[in-house]
Amino acid sequence: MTRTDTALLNAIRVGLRGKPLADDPSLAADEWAALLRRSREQELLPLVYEAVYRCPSFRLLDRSVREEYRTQALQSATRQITQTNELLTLLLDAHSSGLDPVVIKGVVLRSLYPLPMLRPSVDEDLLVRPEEYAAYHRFLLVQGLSADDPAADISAARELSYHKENSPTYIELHTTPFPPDSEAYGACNALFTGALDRTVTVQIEDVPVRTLAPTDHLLYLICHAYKHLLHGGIGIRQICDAAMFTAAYDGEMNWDHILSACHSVRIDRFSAAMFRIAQRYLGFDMPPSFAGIEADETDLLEDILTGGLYGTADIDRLHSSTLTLDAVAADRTGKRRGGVLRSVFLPLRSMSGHFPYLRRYPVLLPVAWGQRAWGYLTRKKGGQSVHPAQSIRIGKARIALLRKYGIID
Amino acid sequence: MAYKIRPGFVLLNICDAHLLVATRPLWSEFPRVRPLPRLWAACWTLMEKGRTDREVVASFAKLFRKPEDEVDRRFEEMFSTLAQEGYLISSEDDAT
Repeated sequence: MTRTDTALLNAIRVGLRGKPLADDPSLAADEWAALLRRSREQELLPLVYEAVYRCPSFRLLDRSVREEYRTQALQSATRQITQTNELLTLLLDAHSSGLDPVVIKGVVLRSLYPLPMLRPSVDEDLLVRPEEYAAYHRFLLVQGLSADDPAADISAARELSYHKENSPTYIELHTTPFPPDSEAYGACNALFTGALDRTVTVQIEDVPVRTLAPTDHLLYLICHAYKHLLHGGIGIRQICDAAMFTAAYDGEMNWDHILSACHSVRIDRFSAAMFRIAQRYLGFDMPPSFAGIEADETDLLEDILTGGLYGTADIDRLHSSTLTLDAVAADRTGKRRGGVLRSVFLPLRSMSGHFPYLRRYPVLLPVAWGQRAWGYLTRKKGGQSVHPAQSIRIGKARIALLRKYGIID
Repeated sequence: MAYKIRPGFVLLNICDAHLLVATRPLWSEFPRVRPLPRLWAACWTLMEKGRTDREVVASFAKLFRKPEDEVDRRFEEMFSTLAQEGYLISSEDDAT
């Protein structure tokens, strides 16, 4: 781990406690620039900036660069304040309409941070029963939100996103915690049977917010991290969320259930590695139930630090996710792995999300494959082009990581 | 004119900046965050502690070693702007 990584983790550790970094890490200007860039990749820039800007050596960084990151941190924080206010207002309106959705992650996690606006969230996730979906859809439209896929069949919808013009409000409405047709992690849904019958209500800025019970919620955070591990990578923010949540609700957790649930979907060692990172680098207690599990956290931490939040720092890595997902799906279903070709020639159900016309015209699947292949070869992100060979190399390395944590054989 | 803080705002000091944020009863009226320049934030902090606008002017006149009427002229723009935006209540508004 570099000096920059160590300083970044220290900044996050104190930032999670609402404190500034007391010991100046004495970084050089280029190291400070790297630290800020990495904190932005991890979507923790506001929290990190707040923790480090008073360090004397931080002044070595060019003023214009400091100002650029400070502006971004403030924009993120102010956006978050508005997003929270709008969501809580929306929930109050939902209550007035006789609706009471279950809020997961997002505002519930932010509220555990000393300065919630420093923990960015892009969207807010609401979990509702399938039979209530249409009522929530109508409610969101009345509230001025638009469905991102207006052609979706609401009677069969399991997950849709909604946004509001000129507003940071972005809602994802789910009927199951995870897409049930995912061969890689759809089985996680079974861990949440009955979760909507044992919800709790927390107060956030005086607004009652219905959410999952602590045991279900922590389990959800772990499974959600697992999902992103397969897709492109988890971020240090997900470790922070799980650690902050555990610290807040430790006494209310059924740890035996969490451990046994994680074991049942083969993520107990991965979970232990997450908790180990929180313990060793962020100063949290290791849950005793996971303390005895052998799990070297260093490779997971390296994967987290190089990938950015959800692996988005590297476009080749994002594209490697089809290999990791395929490897886990093959392991879970006993089917033969599709390999690299499967990355392009995905089945219809996996393609219709990005190519909505397939829902009406499934016969056009080969056209969508062509579009996907073309997009794959010409796509750029932040000036980066896709390098198929590099994606395959990363995919293989990340499959080895899954083996290390016992997720696949 | 005399000014006082309208109740229901919190001054946040984050990332080397000062932000006025409305609490829930005022969300619909003040949905956005209001950044404050450093000097304005210092004045707001004193007013939060119960100082009147006159006392704030006097404090800064002493700090800047300037005559009170000169500081008063400079601060009037700040007070009237914040009053127009609804963050401060002027004695005129209070009377109505």
